[in-house]
Amino acid sequence: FDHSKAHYYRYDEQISLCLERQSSSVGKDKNKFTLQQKYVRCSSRAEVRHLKRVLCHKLHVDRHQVQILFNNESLPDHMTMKQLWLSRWFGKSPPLVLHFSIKDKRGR
Amino acid sequence: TDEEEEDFKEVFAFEFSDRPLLPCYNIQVSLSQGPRNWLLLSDVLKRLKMTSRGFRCSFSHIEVVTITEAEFYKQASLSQLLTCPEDLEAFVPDSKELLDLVEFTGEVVRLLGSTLECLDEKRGAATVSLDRS
Repeated sequence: FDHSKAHYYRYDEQISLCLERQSSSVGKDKNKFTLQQKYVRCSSRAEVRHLKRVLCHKLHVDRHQVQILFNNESLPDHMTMKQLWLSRWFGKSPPLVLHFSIKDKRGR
Repeated sequence: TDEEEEDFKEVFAFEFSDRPLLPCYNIQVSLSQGPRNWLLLSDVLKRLKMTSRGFRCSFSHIEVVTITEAEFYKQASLSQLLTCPEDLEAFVPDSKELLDLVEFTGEVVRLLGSTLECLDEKRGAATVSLDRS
């Protein structure tokens, strides 16, 4: 078959995530920075930094404000979703649950 | 168009939904193409509250492909990401029954009520909503 398109991200295995705001980072305004569409699917080759960028776009925040966490552990930017799944979620059912926190701009 | 096709390969697409996502399986259904991502038609119908006939009438341009359950199981069970026994327990490993699959495309994603965001690495931080199939 035509191998020239086989590398397209859309043909990669997909990873199913549930992205919730870290409860400890919920301030007075509970609705602020809440992701209405918290179920997310993407290529297993997507990296944490890609997810961060998309999240920033969705929540209208600066990318330096966002942190992606798994069990309170801040995840490195270059970790792929597949690495994350295999190292933290192997043997479990989808979706992989991640949290995000938004730092106040003034706190930078 | 071919141009759009060229554009699309460079981007990561992120599907966002307010409902749990339907399972998606990376399966090679024909020797003439590599593995693609597929949803079970039965899952899609349940989500859309439609009959198979209604779906095929309303979306006649969306191709429905069939695969034996055994072949589907064989391929799906090779995935490193489907390692929870519950993920595949609904399937019979040696069944000759046919399963209907619908390709996981932008159009199907939108049909299911999700939104797609795409990230263009070439253009740095720019993120745009992907509004095409």
